[in-house]
Amino acid sequence: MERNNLEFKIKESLSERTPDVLDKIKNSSQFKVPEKEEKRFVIFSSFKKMSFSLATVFALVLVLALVFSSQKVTPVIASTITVDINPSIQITLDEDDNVIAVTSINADGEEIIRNIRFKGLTLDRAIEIIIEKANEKGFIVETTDENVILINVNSKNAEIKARVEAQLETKITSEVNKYGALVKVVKGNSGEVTQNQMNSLVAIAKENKISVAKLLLIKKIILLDDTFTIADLKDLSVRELYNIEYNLLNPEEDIEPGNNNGEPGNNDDIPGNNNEVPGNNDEVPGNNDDAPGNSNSSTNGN
Amino acid sequence: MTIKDINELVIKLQNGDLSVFDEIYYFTKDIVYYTIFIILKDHQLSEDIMQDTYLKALSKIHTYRKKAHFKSWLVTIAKNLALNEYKKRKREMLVDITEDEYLLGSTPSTAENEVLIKQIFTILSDIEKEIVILHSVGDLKHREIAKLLGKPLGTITWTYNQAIKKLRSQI
Repeated sequence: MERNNLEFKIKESLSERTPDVLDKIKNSSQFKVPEKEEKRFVIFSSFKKMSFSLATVFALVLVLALVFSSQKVTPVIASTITVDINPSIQITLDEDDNVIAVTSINADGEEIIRNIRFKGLTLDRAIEIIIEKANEKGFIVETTDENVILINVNSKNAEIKARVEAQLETKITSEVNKYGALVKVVKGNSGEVTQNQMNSLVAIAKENKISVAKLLLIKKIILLDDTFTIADLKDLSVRELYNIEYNLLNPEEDIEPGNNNGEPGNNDDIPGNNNEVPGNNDEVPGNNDDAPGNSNSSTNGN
Repeated sequence: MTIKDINELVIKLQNGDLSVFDEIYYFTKDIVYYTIFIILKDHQLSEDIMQDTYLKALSKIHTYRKKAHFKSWLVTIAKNLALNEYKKRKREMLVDITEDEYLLGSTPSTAENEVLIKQIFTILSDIEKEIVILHSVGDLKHREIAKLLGKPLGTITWTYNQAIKKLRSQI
């Protein structure tokens, strides 16, 4: 079919199925054009104009007060997480495990978090959204192989680190399973590093545009085979890195890695924790405050 | 109808002349309906939100400025209302019929059109569907769609061409 003809057919086919709600609209009590707002301004006396100025000053004072008060309650970062599916995403949390910010570490990560407002969401909800988006974009694969997801939690407080790590692992597993896919959550083994070492790792990871979790896995591979370099490995997918590590750890094995059935290659040297942590689904992502039609807004379409 | 024509009608509407509403409605109803339907995937709900869109647009008609295409403005309202509804009903939405089942089952039509609609709603991704509908049904230019969806013009053109290619290969 010719392109123009196809475009015409699309229009014709869909148009003939559009329901007609004109009568319903016209019968609605709201079917009227409101008076122009400008008319109201015309009748303002100078006194009203002065009231307006006062109101403006008051609003300004209010805004300044809000700005100052908001500075006082700036949330303190209690932990920083990196999640590496292949999109690499960094999440900072406050001490109640609520999201302060979500940033992307690579271009795929940007694809996942674009146009989503994470601030204030619980960690569980943020993970739900990230996995949902990752699945939509095809980063979660439904195969007999497990999807490998690297996580790394960095916190000065060991208790927070352990709690967040456990919560993250449980939530990622359950979310990926929702899409009928298998997952192996691999923790970046950074438990013994000092804060200075961690700062150095963060700097190297940033320089190479990879997550700390991915860097830790790369370092592990380099330790096993020093012919590899960060530059060789940084562009490989998490799955590929995991395969290399597995093959280096199990040179005699011919069983595919990622098998979690208690067989060799189970990567059990990496500690796991599956404590159940309650989820929270109350938050909804996305915010269209500036666009018409949003009931949270006082602009168009409200 | 040109942009100039529709803007003239909207000015009349802004001046309180409701007699032009029918013409505006028939000029825009397809794009409004399918913008909502892509999000909600429910016929009755989409009809309700379609009504709300026009009533909301009427109540906010004085805020419309000629800088944007009127259809784009209306689509933004429709999309936001549909998204709000979707969020509200996210957990309770049990609708699992596919778009094509609804569309094919609702109105008698020619076999050729049925096949085409089935292809649109089965082989195209959500973003491809949205762009095809905005362009083919809504007559919006790629530039206007790019602005509306907040995506680069190249992405819109490329996605649209891919979608058309997919449809042509299937028909």
